Amino acid sequence: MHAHPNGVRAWYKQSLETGAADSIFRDDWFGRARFGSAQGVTHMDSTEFSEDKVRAIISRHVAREGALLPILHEVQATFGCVPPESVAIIAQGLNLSKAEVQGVVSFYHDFRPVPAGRLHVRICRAEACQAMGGRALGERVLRHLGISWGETTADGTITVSPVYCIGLCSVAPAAQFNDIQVGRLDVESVISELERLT
Amino acid sequence: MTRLFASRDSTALAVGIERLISLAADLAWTTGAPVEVVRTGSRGLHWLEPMIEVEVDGKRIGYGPLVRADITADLLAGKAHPKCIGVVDEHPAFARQTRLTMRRCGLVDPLSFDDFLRTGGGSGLSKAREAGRDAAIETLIRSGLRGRGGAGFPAGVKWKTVAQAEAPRKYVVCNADEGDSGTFADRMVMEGDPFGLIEGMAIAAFATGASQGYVYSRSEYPGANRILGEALETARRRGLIGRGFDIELRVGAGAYVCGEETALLESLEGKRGQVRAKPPLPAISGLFGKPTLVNNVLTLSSVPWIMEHGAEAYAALGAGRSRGTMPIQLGGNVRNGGLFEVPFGLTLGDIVDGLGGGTSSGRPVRAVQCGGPLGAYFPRKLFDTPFDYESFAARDGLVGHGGVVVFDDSVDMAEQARFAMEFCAVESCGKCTPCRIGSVRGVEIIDLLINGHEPAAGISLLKELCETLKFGSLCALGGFVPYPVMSALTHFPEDFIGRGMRSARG
Repeated sequence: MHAHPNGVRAWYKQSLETGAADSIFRDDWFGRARFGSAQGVTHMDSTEFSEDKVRAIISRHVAREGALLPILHEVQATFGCVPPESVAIIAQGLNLSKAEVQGVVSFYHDFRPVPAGRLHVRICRAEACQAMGGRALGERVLRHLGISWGETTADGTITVSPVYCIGLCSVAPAAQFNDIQVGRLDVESVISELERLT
Repeated sequence: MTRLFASRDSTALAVGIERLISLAADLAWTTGAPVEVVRTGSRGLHWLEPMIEVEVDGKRIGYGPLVRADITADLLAGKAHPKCIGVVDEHPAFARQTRLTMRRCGLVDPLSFDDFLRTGGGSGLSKAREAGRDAAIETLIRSGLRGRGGAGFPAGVKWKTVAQAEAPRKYVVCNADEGDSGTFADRMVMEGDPFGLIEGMAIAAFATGASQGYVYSRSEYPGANRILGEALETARRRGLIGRGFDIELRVGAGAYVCGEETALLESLEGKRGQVRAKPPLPAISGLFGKPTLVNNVLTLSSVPWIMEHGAEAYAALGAGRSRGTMPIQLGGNVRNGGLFEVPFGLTLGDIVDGLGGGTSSGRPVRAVQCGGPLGAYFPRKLFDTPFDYESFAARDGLVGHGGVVVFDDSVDMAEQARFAMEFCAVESCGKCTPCRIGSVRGVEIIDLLINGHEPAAGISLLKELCETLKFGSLCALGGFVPYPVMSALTHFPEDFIGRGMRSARG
């Protein structure tokens, strides 16, 4: 199924010409995270808020058992966040109180009130990554960007969030760049790739 | 046509297999020797990733860990090469395993239903149906299989309880919310043998009389969710599920506590993932108040093999009351990281030094955390502890979900204890006071200790707090966080007290 990656080869050829190939090739995560990928929704795809879109999402899931989480996931995939104005619409659609819906939204770490930056970096803070310098990686990236955990750079480009284990414990330290997961990270190459973006 | 095999597991993708396998295919076309690329799950030999296997005379020869320059004509021909590790099935790290739960991982294309059938897929379900509900449950009880999520409760007993509960609707819920740091076996099963898991759930549904199944997975596992989602569609099309029992994949939203079974059920119902008081047991009153079987991915994936080969074959493996095999996951600062499925009973030293080969930094191993963020830290002097539920419990530790995280001598154990409390504070569902408030106080006390403030009083307060958490919390999150904290304090007191005196003097 992956035997004919023409898109990838064309992209690689192009990056060879621009001289960026070596670095991007080694850290191919960054190229894919930056240019988006076929896998899932990237943060660049998020659309303008509209009540109708929220209602359409609700109607797709309302018949399912325990529909609220699937609805919230699709709302976030659509708008890049769970917009506060969507809470009342969802509450009405599911015959719940606004407090109940807001309570669920605020409980789960994934749901955000505002979209993340164009590049959402999730750095693993859990033990296996700690054992391989994960703490230093997180601190260095935050210091470099001048932000704290969960914040977005002033220009809206990069958000850095903590994540507690993405299951790449045997190739630590690991992080996720938009929807691309990368292991065996070293601090310097992450910083130089981030510099390239900002 | 030569066949190339490469993993499409998240681990392999995260270290760059995608670029290397397309480069290999590219080179093959250029040299006029086209190849067929088969994407498999992971064999678990993660230190050798990115790895490409070349089939020669029916044997798969491995090359890894590869970089771009390693992709040569010799590699494509299966010839000698600096990165050649020989026939992968005969590699010591692979050959010494007893792969029952993970038996297809890394060998087959996880989305090929024909590969699944060719490797015995479906025969566990057939055997269970032939034997009947009661006999299938009896087989599971006799196999000695215990819940692999961490609690180690006898799986067959749980099945029997659900089977005997009278209700118009019952559920089978697969707990795939694998939040423990250092564990990735559930992810590897979902990415490497999703049909095996589906078959296990189908057997559970048959035995318990459930009509609806859910897999509750994590948003942190996008790769596993994609593969399992596709596999569910195929399984429905091929009739493995869909007639009287269907399965839906649900994805959590970044809450560690949802790995606790009652919080998971709340979350599935669309609520805040807060734990429920037990009783009632989920087996009696679970999802939407109906009898619900909640089992971990590894528990359910072990079931088809047991049904196919019989309870005795499974029970013949293991140690003490821990029967069968455990996929042990080695992560952190370890030279040979990955997954090794072996019968219970290896010592911790066999695992860390033997399977793992020591640290990747080359420095001495100082501590090993077993069983996730709520598991104890073991010092080297306890490396003779056999890996089984009872032996670990006897030394105030947890087997948990089988994760083993290795730290070298640069680790600061007071920092690790502080992190355990901090993690508990971040992830507490807030329902019970010991966990919600005790974890925050725990961070504060350890901070005072680190700063050298009245160490003797701080340590006795910390011990008291841990007692309260252990006995007063509603679930394992608050109840088990004393394990990492107290083990760090007990086995590595110098990191707490020594530094306190140092800074007090300074």
